[in-house]
Amino acid sequence: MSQRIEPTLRKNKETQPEGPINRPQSSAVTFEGTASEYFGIWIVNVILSIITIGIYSAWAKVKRETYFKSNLFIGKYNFGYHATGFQIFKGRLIAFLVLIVINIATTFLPLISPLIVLVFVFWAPMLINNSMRFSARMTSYRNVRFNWSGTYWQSFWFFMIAPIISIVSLGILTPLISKSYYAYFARSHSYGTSQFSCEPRTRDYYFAYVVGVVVPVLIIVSMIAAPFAAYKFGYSKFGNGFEQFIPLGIIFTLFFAASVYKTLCRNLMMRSLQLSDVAQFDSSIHPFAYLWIRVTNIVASIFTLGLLIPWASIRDHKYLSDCSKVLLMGDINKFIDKETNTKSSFGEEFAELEGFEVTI
Amino acid sequence: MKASGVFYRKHSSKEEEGEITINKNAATICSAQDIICRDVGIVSIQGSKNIYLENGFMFTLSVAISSEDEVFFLDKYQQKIRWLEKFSVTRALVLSAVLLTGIFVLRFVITNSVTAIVAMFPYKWEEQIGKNTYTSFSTFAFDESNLPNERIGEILTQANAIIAANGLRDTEIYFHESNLVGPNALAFPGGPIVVTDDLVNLLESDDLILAVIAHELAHIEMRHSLNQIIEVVGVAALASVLLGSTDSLIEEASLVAVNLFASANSRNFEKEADLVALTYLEKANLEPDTFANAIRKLTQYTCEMRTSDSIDDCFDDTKTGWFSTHPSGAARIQYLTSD
Repeated sequence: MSQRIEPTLRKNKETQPEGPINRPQSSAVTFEGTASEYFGIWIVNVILSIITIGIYSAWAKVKRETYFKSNLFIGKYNFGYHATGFQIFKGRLIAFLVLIVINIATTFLPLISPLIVLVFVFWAPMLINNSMRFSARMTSYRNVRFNWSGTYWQSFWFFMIAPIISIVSLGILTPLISKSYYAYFARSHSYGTSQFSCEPRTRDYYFAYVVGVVVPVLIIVSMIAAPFAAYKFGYSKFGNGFEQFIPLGIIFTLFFAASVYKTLCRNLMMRSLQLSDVAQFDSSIHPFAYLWIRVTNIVASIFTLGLLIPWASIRDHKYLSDCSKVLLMGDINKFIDKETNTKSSFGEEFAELEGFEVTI
Repeated sequence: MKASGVFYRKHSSKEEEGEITINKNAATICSAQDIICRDVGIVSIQGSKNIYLENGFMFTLSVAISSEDEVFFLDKYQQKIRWLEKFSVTRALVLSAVLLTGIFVLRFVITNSVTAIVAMFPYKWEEQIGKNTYTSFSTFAFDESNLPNERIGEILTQANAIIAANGLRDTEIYFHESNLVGPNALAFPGGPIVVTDDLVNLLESDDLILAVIAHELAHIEMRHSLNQIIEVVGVAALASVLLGSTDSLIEEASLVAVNLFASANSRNFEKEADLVALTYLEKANLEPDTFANAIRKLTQYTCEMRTSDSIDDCFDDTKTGWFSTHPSGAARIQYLTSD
């Protein structure tokens, strides 16, 4: 088998000149996956995972990640994913065994539960760091891998202490904590040996908090409280069983506020993100449009018994990438990486099994 | 196969023009002047264009590799999987049908195999789990009972008579003061049973208290907790495989669905325990009607606690919330008093 393929540049995309760039150039972030293509991968992944009692799910994860990364482009270059199924399987197996041991221990020796919680609190930052490092090291762009350099105590602060302070301060310190967290998340990532920088402004986060959390919560609370109060004071008969919907209303409010606020924070982080003197980033996700996409995705997925999950995932990725931009100011050829040993996926798999995730 | 494109050396983002020749899963990269690397193994081909090599190099083809050529780099199992993954309407429909049928069959298998799994699960382990759960609960939920010892003794004697008359497993019954659970009785897996002081004070009559104990004995005898745990774990595992964990919202939605399933399951177990309790009472020469009276009193108490409904409306409400673990009081009274 031998064939000669002539070089051609990708069409419909902005192309980047090789070598140093004198004028800043905007590069589109595009996602080229399609629902039909991903449907095939997804359904085979699910069927094989069920047939193999979950064993194949490690390889399924590699397929899924590879598909999404290799279809994500900045300019004309796509990302790569480098974990292997066996690596993920080993990490998942160890995490699963650890969880079984913990569950058996707490079932037969319930009094050690507080001790296990304490151990877990101090262990979690390490797991999160390992998880983030593994995930970053397995992702590449133009053959240079990403990295995570968050420290134990920083992660301990942001994932264990800061959420408590945020609650104790009744939300007053939440924007300040969010700002530091997003800056930490960005600065702890590097592309090869080049660190990302991020200098967001505190007042922008407070503005996002007011717009994304305070105002919607006040509106929704008053919408719930008004008919309830009318019933209580005898102005309305609407109250019968109405209180049953209050927990649902609270969940909806929290979900709505969290989604809008998270989207606004992500935009702010991306806008102040910079990679060396080479690239600046931008994000213009509309919080309500994105919320609509997520809600309709859930509805579509549930009403099709999961069969529209591939379509929903692709739609989500496409919207997020369409709203992102990269401004190239320097020579993208200059990045280098160094050898690091990140072979274990235990942290990532344990985090996934335990249900905690670090996302922005 | 020979193709042109650009290559990147290990750990470098610098793009260099070159040509790649692939022969039996080994690649050779040449630039205009030199051979850059020779016969290096291929790790993966991603996005039909990027070829990652074992020496850390990456080659990006100018033109995407065709799917026929891509198959050339896969082993026979990977080739079969790739064939399945390739989209066509017929294949998508067939695979969807296979998946949905598989899910329904598995759902059926889970429900039916739970009885067999529970039967194989040693009683001693179940009792140990129950005792340990009770011990850990005791630290925060239960205080010492304030009931007179004679009162406790009377109830225990009659409860043991129900156990003996029905040939049930010996089960410890404890009485506790509890601010957390209020007037309630709880059956831990394999025992013990906990009856709160508030329940004894609310129901007053021994017969009503014994009817509630009979209901808890039915839970233990029928191993409802174990059934519930195993079935819910099975369904949760199935939901997690189907819906995956790629989107946190979909994951949350699947958790809600599993909770709905668990609540519905729990309501069925409650109804079963209610009906079995009637037979226990009958065999112990106690009046089965007392159970409906006990539920009536408990429902009355719950309705009084609710502030928004009128007590009559609340009492007659046979509707049960989707997330409720018990049928509504009115529904229970309805089936307990029907012939």
